[in-house]
Amino acid sequence: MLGFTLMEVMLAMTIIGIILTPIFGLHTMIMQRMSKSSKRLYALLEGKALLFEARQKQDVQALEFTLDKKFEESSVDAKYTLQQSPDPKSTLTQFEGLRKETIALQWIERGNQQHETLVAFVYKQSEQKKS
Amino acid sequence: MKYGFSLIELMIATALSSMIAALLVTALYQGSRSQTVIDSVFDTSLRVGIVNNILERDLMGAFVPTQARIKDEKEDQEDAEDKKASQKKETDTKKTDTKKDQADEKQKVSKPAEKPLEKIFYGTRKGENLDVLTFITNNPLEVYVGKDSGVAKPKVVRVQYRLQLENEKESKDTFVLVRQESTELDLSKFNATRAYEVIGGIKSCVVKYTARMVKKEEQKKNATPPAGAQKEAQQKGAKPTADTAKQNTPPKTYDYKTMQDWVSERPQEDNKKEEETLPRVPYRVEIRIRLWNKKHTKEQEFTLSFELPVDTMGEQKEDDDKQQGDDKKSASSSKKSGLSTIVSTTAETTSNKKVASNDPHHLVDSLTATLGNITKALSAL
Repeated sequence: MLGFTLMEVMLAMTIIGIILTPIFGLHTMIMQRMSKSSKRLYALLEGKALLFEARQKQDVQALEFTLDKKFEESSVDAKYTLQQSPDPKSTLTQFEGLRKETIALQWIERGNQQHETLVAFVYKQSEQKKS
Repeated sequence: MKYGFSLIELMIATALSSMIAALLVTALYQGSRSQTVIDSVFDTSLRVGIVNNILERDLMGAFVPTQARIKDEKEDQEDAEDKKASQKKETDTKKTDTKKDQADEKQKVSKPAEKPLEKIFYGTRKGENLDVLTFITNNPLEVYVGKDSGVAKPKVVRVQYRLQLENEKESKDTFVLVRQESTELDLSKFNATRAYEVIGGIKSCVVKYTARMVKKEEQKKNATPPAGAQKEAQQKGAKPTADTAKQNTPPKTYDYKTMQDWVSERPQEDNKKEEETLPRVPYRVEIRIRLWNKKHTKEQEFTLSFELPVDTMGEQKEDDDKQQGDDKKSASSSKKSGLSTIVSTTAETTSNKKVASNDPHHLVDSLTATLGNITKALSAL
């Protein structure tokens, strides 16, 4: 008998399918990563803007301060926190008056919650210390 | 013996091949589409990155150069008084001056005063969009070397950003951000500088400048310390020094004002109207830039914020003025009392003015001045 049997063709199809599936998966993953990185860049820029806005709104000598903001266009939730001291384990604790500024960014990407954190340090001397 | 395929076999083969073809076409379409999306995202991110990086570099170095310092009325008066005093001294000591010297002095007086640099930080808009943003910075992109090799020029340049139409014929709502940089600080001579495109495909670019000023109430409080505290200090016999003054002053609180145009040299009338003195360099610059994608089908907005090193020249000058005023008062009171007070006040003034700077040259100057005063007082006695 000449030609392929049905079984042979089905087998060939399965092999092609096995090869094509990860290629499509890779493509989808690249698209997702691109979208994620784009959104991340956007969120980081918004976070930077919030950092300066919070610095503007807080009292010069404030040791603790929080500010929440939702960016409507990008649907990014940002939270600014000024902490009294950095991580106790950190070597930075030896610098008195050093305060940690944290900006927590959250957004939803294709049903998954994404988050990113910006950290900055600022030097603030307390009023007691000054006197 | 049967030759060839049966109808069912052919049908199945066709169905399978069409399925494969459909899969391949979809893959090809998806691939090309994703390629454009990836290109577009990369392109937008790259453009934002470039403009953010260059602007941050330039703006972080923005400052007021010494050539641009404007002398106010007080300073002019002080200068005039100093001139008069020096002239009087000269006439007392040297009554027989030659005519040549007088002619030289006249020439000096008649010389026009050097015009201070203007538009240190200057930003205007056309409609809502940025038109021109120019300032003086110490972070140039180019390395400037003089004619003689190895002689580097000072790293102080003027930078100018302009928003131009990308292609006037094709699109009226697409702009290009153009940057100019030159060591020529005078804006009138600056325009011949070559311009380079920073990024294109801009739909809109709105700039907001935020000024930071010390609150007026706080300024008043700082200027007039409570009377009770002054009395207590006098009773204790404590001498007011710069350190104690610093400790007593409450922390400064600030007012912020956001505007869409920025002119570093505002007319004095404007300042009076606003009842506040704006700094020459803004505290914060916020740029809302809306970029087209590659195919001009979608747009995305980005916010670029920059916190500039604050121009504290005004605040420092105020503090210096206050200190000088105090010194003058103490000096005038000491004239009335005897020799001991003369010595103490001269020592105080020198310590306030110069010793604080911890400069050995200033120390020597102050000591010689004090000794001179003592000898004068002794000779008078």
